[in-house]
Amino acid sequence: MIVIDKLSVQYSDGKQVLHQVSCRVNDGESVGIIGANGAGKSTLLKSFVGLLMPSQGRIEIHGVEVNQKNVRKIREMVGVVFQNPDDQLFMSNVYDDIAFGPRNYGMTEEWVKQRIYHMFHAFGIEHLEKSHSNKLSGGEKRIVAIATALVMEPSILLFDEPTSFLDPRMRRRLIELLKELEMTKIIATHDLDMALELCDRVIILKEGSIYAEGQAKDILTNETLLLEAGLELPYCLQKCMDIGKV
Amino acid sequence: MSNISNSLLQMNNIENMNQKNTVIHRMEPAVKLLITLMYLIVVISVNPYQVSRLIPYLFYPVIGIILAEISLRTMIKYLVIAMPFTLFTGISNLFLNREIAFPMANVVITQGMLSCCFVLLKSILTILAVVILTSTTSMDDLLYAMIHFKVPIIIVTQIMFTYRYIGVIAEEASIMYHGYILRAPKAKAIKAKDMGPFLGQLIIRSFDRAERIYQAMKCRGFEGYVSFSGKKGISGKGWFYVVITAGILIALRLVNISILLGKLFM
Ligand SMILES: Nc1ncnc2c1ncn2[C@@H]1O[C@H](COP(=O)(O)OP(=O)(O)O)[C@@H](O)[C@H]1O
Ligand SMILES: [Mg+2]
Repeated sequence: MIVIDKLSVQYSDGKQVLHQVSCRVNDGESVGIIGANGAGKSTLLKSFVGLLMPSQGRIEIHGVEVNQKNVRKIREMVGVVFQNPDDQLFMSNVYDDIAFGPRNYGMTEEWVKQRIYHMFHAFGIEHLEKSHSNKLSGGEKRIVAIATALVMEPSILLFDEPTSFLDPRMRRRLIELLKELEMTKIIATHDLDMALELCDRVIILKEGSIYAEGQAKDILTNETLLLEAGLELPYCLQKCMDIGKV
Repeated sequence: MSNISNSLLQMNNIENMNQKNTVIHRMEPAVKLLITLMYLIVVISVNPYQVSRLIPYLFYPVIGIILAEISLRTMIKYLVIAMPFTLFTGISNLFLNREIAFPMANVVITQGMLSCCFVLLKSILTILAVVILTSTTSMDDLLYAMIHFKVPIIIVTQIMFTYRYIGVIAEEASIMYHGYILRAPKAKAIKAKDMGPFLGQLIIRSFDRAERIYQAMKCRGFEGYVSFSGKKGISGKGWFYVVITAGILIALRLVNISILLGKLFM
């Protein structure tokens, strides 16, 4: 379980981005964090894994407080898939990229190899093993990036805009893939159609504070609320309403 | 500008060239590293002005280039990147040292000319040796080889990141360059007046990018050095190559082949 209690975060330039955010995420839940650009979604994700430390308040993950002393333990439990896979893939081939985390955590080469082949198999990317990551297509990069996080068997996965840079077919594949994952998922996005499909619960951030929170099907169908937060109804619902009007 | 970023990118993607499958490509990385080091040490140790003693060492790049099927274009490209500095040193020798070495027909050969030739030849030899090594061995294999030779992990990590960072800068540079060119269709390259902001932006962007990469690394347990998996060292066959090359290099260093050949034919 993740407990966030009156969390405030500011960047080194003194700009306070999150203001007194409090919420909880239960084990196995899928939670969407939605909000307009600059609302603080990425910042919130970064503070989960101690890339930014709270200036006030606290975060606890499975009872472990996020602080300088615990980051290693926290990062072993929490996998992160960043917005841009180019930032996440830096070794010279896909195999070494996926092996990077486990090796840092001192797993044996035997274990690493087994896990990686398991991932290759699960994602159908065996043929990419020796490829250089900048030779991959956008969708392949995204899948490999997810594999680099999943290989550690985290109990929580954070996604920052997972559908950005993807074409419709790849986006669909990704959504199906995320549905299969059973761990706790926290997905920061403004792809509300995906949020509606994947998330049990959503949290709307507006200018660094929680603006609304509730079941996905309640929040994401509330047009007034979404407009106030700088968002709009999921496209599929807009279409339904258009058809309804006709 | 596009040329610079292209060649930087190329340096980073040297793996492209590593895809071939020649004898040299298949050779164990640690063996190649060792042989290259020996070659460099021997070539560098040749006394100045003895141009004739350097010439036999051409055997190495010639054989290497042929066996590794490296194209002439690639070779020239690397020489062009690396040579200007040496050229400058060589040519300044020409003017600084005008002592007469020996007369040849009607022309007087000065010490400066000799040392200019010497400097140029020496750097061509060393550059070619390094190009053969890097274009047949992936950066990772080289890093593994260094670890095998007990180079401190911190140094290996530094080399790896320097190498990767060149790639990051090059990528950002080419993105920005395209953005620039598309909005300045008449410009062939970045104008001098835009160069300042361009470079400034480039530094900021590469710094931001590097920061994001670093964050992603930290999320996966990175703590200052990369854990490399253990890879095998040198096999018996590998040692055989090393010993043979060492033998040839030492023989060339001890025996003056040019004079020997001269005596043989005169
Ligand atoms: N490194 C940084 N330094 C200072 N301010 C930042 C930094 N990164 C983001 N911000 C600011 O924090 C706010 C929230 O950013 P972010 O969390 O990235 O928003 P979102 O992911 O919701 O689009 C923005 O106003 C942004 O300008
Ligand atoms: Mg963001």
